[in-house]
Amino acid sequence: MLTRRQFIKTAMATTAALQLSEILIPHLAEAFIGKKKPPVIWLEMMTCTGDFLSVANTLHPDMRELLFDTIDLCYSNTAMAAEGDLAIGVLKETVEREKGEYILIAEGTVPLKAGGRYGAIGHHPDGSIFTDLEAIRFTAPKAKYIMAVGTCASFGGPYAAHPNPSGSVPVHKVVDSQVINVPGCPVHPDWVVGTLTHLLLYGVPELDAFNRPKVFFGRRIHDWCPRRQHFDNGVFATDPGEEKCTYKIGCKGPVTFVDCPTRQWIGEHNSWPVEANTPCIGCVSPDFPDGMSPFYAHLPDMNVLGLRTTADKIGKGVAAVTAAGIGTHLAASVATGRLGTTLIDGTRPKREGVNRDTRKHSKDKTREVVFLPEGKIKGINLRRYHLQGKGRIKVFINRISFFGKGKRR
Amino acid sequence: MEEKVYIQSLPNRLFHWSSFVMVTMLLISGFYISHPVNLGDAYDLDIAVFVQTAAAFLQSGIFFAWVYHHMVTGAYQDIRFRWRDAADFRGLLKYYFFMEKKPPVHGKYNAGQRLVYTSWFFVFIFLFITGLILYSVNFGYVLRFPVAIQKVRFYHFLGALWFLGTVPLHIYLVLTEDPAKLQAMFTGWVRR
Repeated sequence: MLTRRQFIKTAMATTAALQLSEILIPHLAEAFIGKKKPPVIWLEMMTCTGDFLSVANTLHPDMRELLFDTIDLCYSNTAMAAEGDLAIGVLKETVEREKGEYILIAEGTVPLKAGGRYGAIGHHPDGSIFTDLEAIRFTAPKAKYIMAVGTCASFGGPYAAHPNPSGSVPVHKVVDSQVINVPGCPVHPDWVVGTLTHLLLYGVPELDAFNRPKVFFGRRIHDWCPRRQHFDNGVFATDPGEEKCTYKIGCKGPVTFVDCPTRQWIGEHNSWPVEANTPCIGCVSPDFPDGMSPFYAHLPDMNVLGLRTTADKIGKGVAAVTAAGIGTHLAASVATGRLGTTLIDGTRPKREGVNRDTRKHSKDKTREVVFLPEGKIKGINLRRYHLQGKGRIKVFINRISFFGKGKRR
Repeated sequence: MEEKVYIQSLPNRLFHWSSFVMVTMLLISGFYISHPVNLGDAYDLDIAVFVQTAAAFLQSGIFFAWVYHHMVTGAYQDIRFRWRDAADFRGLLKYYFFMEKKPPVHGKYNAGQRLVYTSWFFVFIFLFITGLILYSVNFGYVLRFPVAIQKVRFYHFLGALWFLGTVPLHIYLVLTEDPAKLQAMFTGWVRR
């Protein structure tokens, strides 16, 4: 039997050529010999079905092995032959029969507006609408494990993106129990099958702060990107299609945590965005797609007084305003003769030195000392500017008051 | 005999000039990381990232030592912006916009300086925290709390823009308004 440690090692070391590797299958089959196959409910809510179709492309184990040898897929909107009352009946029956036993795989967001009427999985026998919200609240509490598959189910993704007309939320917002997030747009089959395998064999995998399995979502793309050398040496693509680092055209690799560079896209058709000379768009990130857009700029846009502007423009704006302000002031200073006065005045010994003026603008007539002549420095000011070994503790206690009325001279 | 006044202590001068070097390096390397341009082998992103990280840690050390020094000696009283400085700040703006002949009288630093230095204190702490988060992702997602790194990156950039706007102002004003103070930042003394 494969130990958990060996499994993690295999899953992490898995390269494109090996996939989740066929060595897993016998172990998986072995673990369930003579036992009932674990029941799985795959609930598709507000989704494009991309995640299910992606998982259907799994190679090792392939979908046939998965369905016939490994799991008992009881309900799936896309895969099942039944429809209408028959299908909904199966869902209800499975939830009751396999209570506390089944693994719930949720795909897509849960729309909340209009009582959840933006998304439905079907109808009740009485003809009333069976909403996504109702379905997830019906299935989730009795599930053994809940997996949110795809970025929508995990973090909201495109369906919850601005302006989110349906009020969509990710699964963990409407479910009380722990949700294991397996994001991706679409999700990579290995991440789903690997997490599912871990659940079946060893229970809940080690998760990060976003409840993503660390085994797949632990490392940053940037750190094992095959084009990292281009990044370090400043070889940048200026347009998609160039075989260089895509950082300057908005690659989100530096902020995206997933194993795409070695996992690559399904099986024999090996490639992934960067290898296809387009930037990573950070589809497994919690703020995808709003936070990750624009896809071709590496910092997000910003809303300034109702105008959408890029971070670059803000930067250039700040630089321009500073330069223009200083330039104008300098010109005005020269024109009014102030510059000459201050330059000469600034280095000339000042007769009045100590007390220059009263506080005219604040109407506060108390005099503040500008400079203290060396000979007259004593007491607190002496200690302030001349830190002596002995006085430190005492001074600290004297001066501890922060925003109260400090002991002024 | 010419009288001299000691206004910048040695620790203050050391803090100032070491921060000057570090902040300059941070700004240059930081904006280079944000907008890399081809400078040949002289300055690449790996160098910029190294400089940024090293200077950030050094500057953090300098910053916290500076905070400690100001707490112990009570010198923070010269720097923190007080509510009563708001009125002076108005007067100072009037002076800068040529509506007054003279700026309001002030202690060691004027209201504008107090405002900018106080803002630097808070903005630096903000940059320190966001910078640490950005540094931590070099080791994978190791944070114990959920943070959208892309947002952190953006806010770190905005924080750096504050320095991009205020540091040139600081340099401009010291050169044109009070060069004697600049002299004091080297020697510690101004002539009375």
